[in-house]
Amino acid sequence: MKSKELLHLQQQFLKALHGGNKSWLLNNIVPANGFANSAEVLDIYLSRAQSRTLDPLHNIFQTLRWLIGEDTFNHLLSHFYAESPGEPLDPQGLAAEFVGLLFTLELSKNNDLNEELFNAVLQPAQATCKPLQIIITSALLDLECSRALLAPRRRILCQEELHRLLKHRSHLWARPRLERGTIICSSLINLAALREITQQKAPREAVKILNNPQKYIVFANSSQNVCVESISDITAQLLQNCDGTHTIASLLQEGFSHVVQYSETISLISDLINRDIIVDFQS
Amino acid sequence: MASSNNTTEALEKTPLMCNGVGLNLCHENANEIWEQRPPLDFLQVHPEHLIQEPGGPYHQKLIDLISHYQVTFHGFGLSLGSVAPLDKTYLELVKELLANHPKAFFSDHLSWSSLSHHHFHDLLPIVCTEESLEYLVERVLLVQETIGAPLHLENISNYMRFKNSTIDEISFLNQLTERTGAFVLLDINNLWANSKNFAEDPAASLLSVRANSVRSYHLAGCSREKHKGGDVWIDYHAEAVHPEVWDLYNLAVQTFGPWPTLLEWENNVPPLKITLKEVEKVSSHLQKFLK
Repeated sequence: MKSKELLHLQQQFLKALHGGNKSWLLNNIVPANGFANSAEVLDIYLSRAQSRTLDPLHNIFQTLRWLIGEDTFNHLLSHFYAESPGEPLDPQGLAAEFVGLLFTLELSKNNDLNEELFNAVLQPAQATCKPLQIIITSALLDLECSRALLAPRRRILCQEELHRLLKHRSHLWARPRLERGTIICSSLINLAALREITQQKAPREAVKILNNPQKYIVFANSSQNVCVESISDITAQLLQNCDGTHTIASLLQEGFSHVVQYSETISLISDLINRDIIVDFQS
Repeated sequence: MASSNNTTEALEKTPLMCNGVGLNLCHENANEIWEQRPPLDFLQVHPEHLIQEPGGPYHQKLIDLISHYQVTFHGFGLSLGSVAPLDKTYLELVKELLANHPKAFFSDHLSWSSLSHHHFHDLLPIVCTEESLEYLVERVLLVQETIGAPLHLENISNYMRFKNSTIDEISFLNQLTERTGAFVLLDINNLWANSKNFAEDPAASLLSVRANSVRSYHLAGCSREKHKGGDVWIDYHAEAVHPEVWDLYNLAVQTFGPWPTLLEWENNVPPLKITLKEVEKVSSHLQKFLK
């Protein structure tokens, strides 16, 4: 059995939260004695619901906040909340919806916000990236860092054990794997520098745009710190196959097609183990 | 007044020690608790944290501490009063946690915090009527059936009530627990703050709680805020327990007996040694009734 009274109350609250008519709530609320009227107490509940929902995004989107500044970030959050089709319980889900909104900004009708947002990005003198590209890249970087940090840990073998297996006579049949949440991506923005500068809470400056796209890896190391590092194309190629399905033999064969020798690939795998990037061999 | 017989009976019935005093684990205190491992009778853990953070530094500490301490599980996302279906995945997790920790109990609030996929991250008061009571009875029974254990229902702090409510909050809680076999997690601070905010007698409110339903207590600090119409007591968990709340706690223990008591301090969190002093204070209050 549903409760019509509770359904009505909850629908009215949701409506009020997204700027709808509050008259039913205002007429039915009995405020605690210290409040002047029902409007005062309702506003407290509504603003508390909004701030408690959005608060985790401040922590997740540190790079974006640095990039566009606190005020513009808050305006963007308010716009997101008003437009948001739902408020998931999980902050990661909310963060993903927020990044989804950024992708649609150019198409949106909120020109004042768009203008404020795009003006907030400090552009380098010879920018080859549009402000929206920089905004989306920053937000995606934040989201990937958060996912890397909070993903359930896979590591079941210590580095010593991985090195031992790499030297074993059957090592060709081991299948390397990365930590859950690890992302390999390509960007025209120097993500490693961007991450470092925002972590240091340095003053805002124009982001570094590269002449050619560079490969990056985002991962959480064994000390539970998120690392953003640039990697070579050869390393990226190898890591993209470290999903537990490719054997080292298969990685070597792939390397041969790029004129990478056996010893170089084995040495690269060993180095990636030392750097906490390869964390397991699927047996 | 609780007789010595009542106290003995209580000790036999509850899996956690009745004179047990615990702390709530949160992001703000996790590092200190993990590093210092203070002597606590139990630690209160939010199952939602296991879902929201399946990995990472807090998760690792949480897992370590769950295996180190006796625990209880306290939800904030069940949204018992919501008209949306209960989250079965969440309840299955609770069932699994209780199976792995047979001395633990699971509690959540008599409130609602979501509608469909919209989560408001706040504990909102319900309309207390015969109709909503029927609905809540069904929900509590379904929760208990799924988790395989009695639910401990916490009274919330609220700053508004509804004109169309026909039953007062405590009578509502009493009827709900009587009809479902659920227990009451009596939050003394919430009861005191509500009484102050609605100009009621806190002791009278407390004494109207059904005696046999109480099985655990929460204590926390309350903050006084100035508003347009005067002062409002806000359940902010950001300071030491108010002296009048201690008095009410003594009355509760006298009336309902000693039960596991949790100290909540999650905002403006002081160094752990300060919180532990409050824990010791709870312990000494409880000991008076166990002698």
